[in-house]
Amino acid sequence: MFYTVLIKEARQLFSDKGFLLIALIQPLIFIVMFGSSFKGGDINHLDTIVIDNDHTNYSQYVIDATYESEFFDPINFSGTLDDALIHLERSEVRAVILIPENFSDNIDNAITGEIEIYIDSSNFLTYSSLSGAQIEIIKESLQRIANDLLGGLEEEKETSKKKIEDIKDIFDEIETEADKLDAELNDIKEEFSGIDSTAIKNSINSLKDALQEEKTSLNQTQNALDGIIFTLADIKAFNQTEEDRKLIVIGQITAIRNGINNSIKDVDDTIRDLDEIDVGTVDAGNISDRIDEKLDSIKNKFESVKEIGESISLNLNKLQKDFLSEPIRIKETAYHGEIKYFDYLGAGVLSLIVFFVSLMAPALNVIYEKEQNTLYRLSTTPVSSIIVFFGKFSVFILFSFFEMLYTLFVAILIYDLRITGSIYNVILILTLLACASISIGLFISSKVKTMQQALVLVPLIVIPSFMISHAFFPPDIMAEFMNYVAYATPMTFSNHALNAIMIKGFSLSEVLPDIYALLAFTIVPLILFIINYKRMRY
Amino acid sequence: MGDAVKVVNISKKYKGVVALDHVSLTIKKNSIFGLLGSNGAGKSTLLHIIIGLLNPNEGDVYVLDEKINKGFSKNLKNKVAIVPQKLSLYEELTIFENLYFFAKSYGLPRKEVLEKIEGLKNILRLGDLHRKVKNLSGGYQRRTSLAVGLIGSPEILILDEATVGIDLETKKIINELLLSLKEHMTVITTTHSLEEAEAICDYVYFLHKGKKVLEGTLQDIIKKYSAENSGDIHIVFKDEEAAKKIFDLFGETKILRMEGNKLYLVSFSGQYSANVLTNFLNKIKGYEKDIVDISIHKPNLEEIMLQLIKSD
Repeated sequence: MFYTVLIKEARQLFSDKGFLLIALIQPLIFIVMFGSSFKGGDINHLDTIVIDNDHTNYSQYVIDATYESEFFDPINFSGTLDDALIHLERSEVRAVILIPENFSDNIDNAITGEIEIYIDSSNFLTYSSLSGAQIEIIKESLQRIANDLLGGLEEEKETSKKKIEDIKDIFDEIETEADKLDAELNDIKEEFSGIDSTAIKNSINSLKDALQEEKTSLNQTQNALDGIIFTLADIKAFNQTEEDRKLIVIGQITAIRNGINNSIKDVDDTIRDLDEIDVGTVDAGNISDRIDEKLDSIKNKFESVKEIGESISLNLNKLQKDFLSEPIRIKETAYHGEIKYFDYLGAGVLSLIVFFVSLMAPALNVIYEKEQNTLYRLSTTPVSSIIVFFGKFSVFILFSFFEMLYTLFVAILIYDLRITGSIYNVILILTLLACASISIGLFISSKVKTMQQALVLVPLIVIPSFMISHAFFPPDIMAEFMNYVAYATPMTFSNHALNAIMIKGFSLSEVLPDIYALLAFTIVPLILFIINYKRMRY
Repeated sequence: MGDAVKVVNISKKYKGVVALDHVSLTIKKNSIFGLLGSNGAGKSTLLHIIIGLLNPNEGDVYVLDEKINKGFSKNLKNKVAIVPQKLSLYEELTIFENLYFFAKSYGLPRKEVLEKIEGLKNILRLGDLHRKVKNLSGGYQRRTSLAVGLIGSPEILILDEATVGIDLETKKIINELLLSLKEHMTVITTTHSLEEAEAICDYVYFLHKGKKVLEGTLQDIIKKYSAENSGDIHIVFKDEEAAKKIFDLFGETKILRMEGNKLYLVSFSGQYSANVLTNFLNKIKGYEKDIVDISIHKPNLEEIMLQLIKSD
């Protein structure tokens, strides 16, 4: 008996050839639609405009990094930022990267180079893709700029260190010379007690020679410090803090340099003093004290120069570490503000609900009438097919309108759906979608013969429509041909318009093409239904 | 006054199969026309061509002197009503709602609609009009369907197997109504029930395999085939023994057939019926007291049709 029931059910099920055909095609269409909507699997290679207002090596590094990134797909563009943002507003590109005019200058002047990136946030998935780790990849790519900077700074650092070491060596030599001078002065003091004036003169001359040597050393030191100041002036600070720090260091070295200059003057004064010594009346003790005083002054200054030199080395290290921590910064702007995933899906979900209900109800209604034969009977009365259509259309539009309204308000009141633009515009677009769906539903009903066929055909239209209408999968990741197939469903246009109104705050005039498309999806099936209705057989 | 319907040399083929083969007919106004034939004879095809739902491959159709071309004009839709074989009513609506809706489809004013509904309620004995059609018995559903067909006061009422499978009471009501309507409208009925055709039709047109095999008024047909074809005389005896006595008188002639206390004098024809009858009456002289009843059974439409189909 089981076998008999099985056979009977199978025969009954498969006796409807139309149903069988649709049911067999349905899975194939589903998988093709789904697979083609997931072209690459990942959301990448998103169209991007890169505007280079800097035109330097550094800005080229940014452009190169963008080209190498798998997430950005730079397109040819030669316009202003405002022009680019118009494309972004229309979601024709997903991101605009602006390299400002002063980008490399800022880096050269130790100010963090800032790149601006504007991301289309009307599509949550593409926005998320571009706005997270992907930006970090760009940062990583831009490290090549930092590497350039690092190489230059290392060189500067080594040069500065070497010069400071040289200063130290010179200081040591000066100190040694000063010690020698001190010893010689002691010898002079001793010699003054019993040596004749000739001997004193010789000693003074010897001392003068020694002082001349000291002066030469001091001049060398001064020149070395001039070199350091020049080098430091060439090092670019990366922000104001570092600039201030650099100026402090230069000031300190300048102070040393001036100190040395004073020391040179002191040596000159000493030499002049020695020239003025009257050997006959010389007071050896007095001379010795004056020389000691000057030498102590020189020594003290040398000590301060050493201290400052050590602080220069320390400051240079600090300067390098802080600058390299953030040589470049990316300033990200979510072009349509931050959105939630639900906000993004909102347009698609509302469209889906309206499309499904508005298509299903009239389709099943007319097929029921066909099965009941009432439509045939009605066709034999004087009522015109246009009246029949508009009678049905009006009831279903009221029904769909009510369903749409309460769905919309539940989404807003309970789930906080974002409506940036006018809610009346949202209602209008959904109403137009309902009109198109009803027309399509009526047209379908005029073509299929049984309820069974309708029940497999309606999901065959609704589910792929949802998948390909950019409600769920952004067009950027869909196979190219699928983006053309997407125009076969009114949901694509309603989603586009709703997204523009709800997320971007567009007005109706900015979504006119979508409105025209929805009207076409209403009128064409309407005409086809009326033609088919006239040809309807029972 | 023109004809209600005139079909001129219509032919129709479906995928190479001939459904109608050069069919011509004329339906007079104020008559009940029976379009007869077994299933698949071509009745529905011819009907659909008449009402413009199908286009013939050749030939012309005129309804109320208007040539039919791609369906009925609005004028004809106002004058011709169809009662389909299927119920074709809004089953979720009440009888009243169905009648009101279809009445309004003819553009009738509310007052007239209500009057007509009341009139049809009484004629067809529809009972409570506020019952949903889906809850009605088959008979009431059929009456409602006919009421819907009549609500627009058509000049031509087409019944497409509209009385198949209904109870006797409903059939009687409908037949009486149709006969009474004849004065005001033309009724075209398709049926394979010859009994029903006999009951109400003035004129019948018999289709078989897409071709006309017979047409004419019922009286003409019966007369013609009663004269030309076989008929029976039925003799009922008081008991089987009496019947057997008479049966034996005819021996092997085989003009008699016996069933219980009945004898059937079979297969007489116009040419020799007088001789047979005279011979039979002579032989039963003296046995009159055993005979309870003698009746002449003329051939009905069904028997004639069966003969025609067999001969085809």
